[in-house]
Amino acid sequence: MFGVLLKKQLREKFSPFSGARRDVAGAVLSVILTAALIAVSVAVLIRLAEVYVDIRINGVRDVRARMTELMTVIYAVIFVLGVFSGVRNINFELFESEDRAIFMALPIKSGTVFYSKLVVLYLKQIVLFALTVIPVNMALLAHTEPTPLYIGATIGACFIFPALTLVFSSIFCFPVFMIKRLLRSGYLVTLLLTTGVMAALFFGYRYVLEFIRQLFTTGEIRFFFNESVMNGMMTFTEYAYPVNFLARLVMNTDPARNGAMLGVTALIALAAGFAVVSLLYNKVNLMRATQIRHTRRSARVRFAHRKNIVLGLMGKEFFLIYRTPSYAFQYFSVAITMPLMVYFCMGIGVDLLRQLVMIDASAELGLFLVLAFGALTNTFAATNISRDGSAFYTLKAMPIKPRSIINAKVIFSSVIAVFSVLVSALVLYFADFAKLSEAAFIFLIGAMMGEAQIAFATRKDLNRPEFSSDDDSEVRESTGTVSLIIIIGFLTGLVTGGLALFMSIYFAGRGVAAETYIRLACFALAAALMALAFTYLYKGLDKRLYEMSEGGK
Amino acid sequence: MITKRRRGAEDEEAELLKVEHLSKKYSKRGKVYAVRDVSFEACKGEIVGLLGANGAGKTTTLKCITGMIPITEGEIFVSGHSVKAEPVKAKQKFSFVTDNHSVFVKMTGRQYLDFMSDVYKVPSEKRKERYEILEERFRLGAAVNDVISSYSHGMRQKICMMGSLMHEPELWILDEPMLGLDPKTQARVTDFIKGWAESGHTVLFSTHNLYVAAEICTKAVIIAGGRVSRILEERDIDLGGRRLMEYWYNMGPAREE
Repeated sequence: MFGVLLKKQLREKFSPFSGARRDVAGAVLSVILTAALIAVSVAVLIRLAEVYVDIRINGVRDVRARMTELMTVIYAVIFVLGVFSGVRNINFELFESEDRAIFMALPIKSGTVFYSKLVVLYLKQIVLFALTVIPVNMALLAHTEPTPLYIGATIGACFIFPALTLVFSSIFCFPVFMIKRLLRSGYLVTLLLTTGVMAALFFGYRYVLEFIRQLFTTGEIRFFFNESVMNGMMTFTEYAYPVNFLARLVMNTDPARNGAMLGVTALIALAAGFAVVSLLYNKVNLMRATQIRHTRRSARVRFAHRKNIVLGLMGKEFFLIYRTPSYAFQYFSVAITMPLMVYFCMGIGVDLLRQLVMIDASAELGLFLVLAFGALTNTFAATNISRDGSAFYTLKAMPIKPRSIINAKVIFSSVIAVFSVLVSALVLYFADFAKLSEAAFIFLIGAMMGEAQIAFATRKDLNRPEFSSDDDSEVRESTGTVSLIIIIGFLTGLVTGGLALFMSIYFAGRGVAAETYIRLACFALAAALMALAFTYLYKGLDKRLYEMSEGGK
Repeated sequence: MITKRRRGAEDEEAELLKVEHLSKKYSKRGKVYAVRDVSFEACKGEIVGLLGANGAGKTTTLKCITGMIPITEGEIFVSGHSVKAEPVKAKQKFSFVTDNHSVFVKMTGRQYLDFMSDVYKVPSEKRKERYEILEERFRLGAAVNDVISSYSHGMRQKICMMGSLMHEPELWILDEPMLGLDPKTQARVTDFIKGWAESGHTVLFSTHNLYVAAEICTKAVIIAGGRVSRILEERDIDLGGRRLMEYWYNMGPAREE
């Protein structure tokens, strides 16, 4: 039975490559994005290692000690990411998955279900660590020898760390599950909390970007590693269990002791992790099976005034999003914090451009950033159809024109997309990154590109919706559509921003004031893309909706 | 107790639903028809039961009538409007309650009723009045202010029915309406259906509950293997439902491959 369940889980994980839900393009795009992210991280790490191993303490250059410290800090960061990923996966796979109710009614021991799911979780963690630890250790090879121990410990870490992180995750997953449960009907509190956390993360991200800028440009980063920071690094390396065992093992420092410590910690952790999660598994499932939620208990009924059908449909969209925490986060929180992100990146980007290519291109950079981050906001539209679930079909039995159904969704997505572009443009203006006319231009192009992305994503989802079998659950976005939206957003941002930049340099060289031509060219490009996207959205829409039945076949 | 309503001559002419040679294939290249050459009518004031075994084609027929799935061949008219050619006009005349109670679960019951009222253009001043009539029948109580995702199976069935009746549809279509309802609510729904037809509306529903069919139907369309096997008129059903039972038990397999 265990083998059968494991096979089922694995088949589901590989569904993008086979079966009816095949989405090879999406999976390939995800691979490309991951590879790009790894490449950028490796480039940053190589540069950071160059600077860091050069630091002398009391006039002595100690490469092994510095490498151990650097590795410990990086492994600790990866470890924390692994714990986050573990908490999310445990909650999703074990406590929230749609098949839990089916398994509860089948003559299968809960332990068998639990272990088959835990094996899949462990495999997922292995993938995460393989994609992080191996590139990190390869990047650091520039400063050390690739000894068999180095290679062996790197591979070993990909199997040991997943077990260790699952233990920590299992400790945190239950409180997280309970908090999520408590906040389920506190929609506004959840929204405010997630928005606050997101803003704080972006604020922190600003420092990361500033750190990277200094690393690649001024070399001022050396001053960051002053005496107190170095003391902190050394103390951290001393006590950061268990990641420091691995760093020392990799760097061939007392390998027998550190290897044994790592092995013992992993075994204890593995046993503890299985015990904690298995204890929680039945408890949580029982809680979910018996839950009855009531939000209000007032007998007073007040009806609203009659609305236009599109407004009625938009109201439906609002409640669906507002009362589903992950949708509310994607829709409201990401959009609200997007202008912050543009602002932080703008400050760093303008300096970087000046230092690297000696060009002042604030408006062009602003345009690029608004388009690129706007694309992140607009990924929300990738589930515009799917999130209705099977209830979407009931709309087909109602006297509503297909265009009204789709327009309501597009307008609802557009409201927040246009709002975040508007706030971003205003931020650029008030922070003196752009003149009023430039800010207005950025808003216009940003709004048009946003509309184009929303129209494209909505039709793509309509062509292949993924309805959840449980009408109360959340649809995880189609990776393909999300990746595609992000890539298109970045590309259009690059092309439009790049076009503006290229034209301004070209005309400036000839002493021609060509601001109007540049704006017209960008406008023409945005208008063409918008026209294409809306043509794609509306082409054969009635036929598509008429023919759509049961799962979008 | 409401008794069955006898159709008069004027009703005969008031043909509200007309299904003509309806056929449906789920696969374009396949040869298997889920529904084949189905024809029947429903007139004003009639309660038409679509009867058949599991997999006979009842739900497919209803979904074709409501436009939820495309038809392969044939035509369907509601109040003279083709469901395919004039879908909005045709759909304004009926409402449909699905067997799985598909509903937008993140709305409260009241918000859902408001949404349905917006869709079917129910005037603001009539909404409260309609709700009170329906509440008396279905008894959802204070739960109408709760989010639908917290409802039980039966409560979802009730809110779906209430939503579908907010605009007083001329034709009320229900797929297995008694499924998941407690006996008391079943009796109330049965009475409501009869009363609804009494007031000149038409009801089309699918079921395999012969007792319910025998009690309320004025016409029974029996489907077997995706084809109309027989249409029983009121007098046949009226014999305590005996003819209906006999016919049912002598029916062939669900589908001929």
